[in-house]
Amino acid sequence: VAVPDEKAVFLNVPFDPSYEPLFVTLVGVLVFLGQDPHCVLEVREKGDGRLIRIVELMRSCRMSIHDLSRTGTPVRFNMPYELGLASAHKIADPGAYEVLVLESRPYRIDKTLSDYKGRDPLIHHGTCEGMLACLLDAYVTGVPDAAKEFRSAARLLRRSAALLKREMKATSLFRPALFRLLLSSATGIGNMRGFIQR
Amino acid sequence: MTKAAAKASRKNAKIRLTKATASEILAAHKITPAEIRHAKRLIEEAERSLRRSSRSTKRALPSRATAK
Repeated sequence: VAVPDEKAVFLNVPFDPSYEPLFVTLVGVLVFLGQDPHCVLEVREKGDGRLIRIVELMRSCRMSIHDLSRTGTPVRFNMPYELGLASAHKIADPGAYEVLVLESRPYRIDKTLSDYKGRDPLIHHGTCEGMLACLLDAYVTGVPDAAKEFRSAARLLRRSAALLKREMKATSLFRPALFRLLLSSATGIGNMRGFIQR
Repeated sequence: MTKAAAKASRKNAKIRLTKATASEILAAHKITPAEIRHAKRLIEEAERSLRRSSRSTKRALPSRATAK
């Protein structure tokens, strides 16, 4: 098992078209905060099973973010399943791993995942503005006027992502090559605006 | 752990960061110089596009004097 990188964050989010702006905002703001986001788009099938590779990627990170806001049909079990894996990892080594849960509606998780009761998910209300607020609630940042600065930078990143998608004639942003370019753009913007060092 | 500490810990206390540099993030994902150049071009294009839309929004809004 790889040694966890304390800046690495594993993202467990729904890959659907309506989530794209939230995903871009999530990846962007994490990079602006100096974090290194990872997700299953990096996991290539090598014959040893996708699940093992996901667990390995999760264990190489210091924390994970799970968005449980998609609860409708078709039912998707990946997000809660991976949250279960992450929770088991945290229970085994509480000080070494952090788990953050995102939701779009307050108190819904008490019904959809009652075993998780007692911990507060971060509520983004399904908006990019809400996603930014969640991350600023969760992390300490030294950037002055962070909300305004990150909002403007995230808007620029979302426009870059839209151009990228159009240029690649892609129907979805959730593709390995596009994720790499999204990260590269977020890093470029973060560096250009002085949020992270070169 | 006291009751208050346990409660604070459950309530997602803020996470203090060790910040990565841009090169560390790019290296962790093995992002190539070509991808960096591509991203840079996209950012420049996006900046121009945002400036254009901001100008056209301003034009579309009537000035205070006209509105009166």
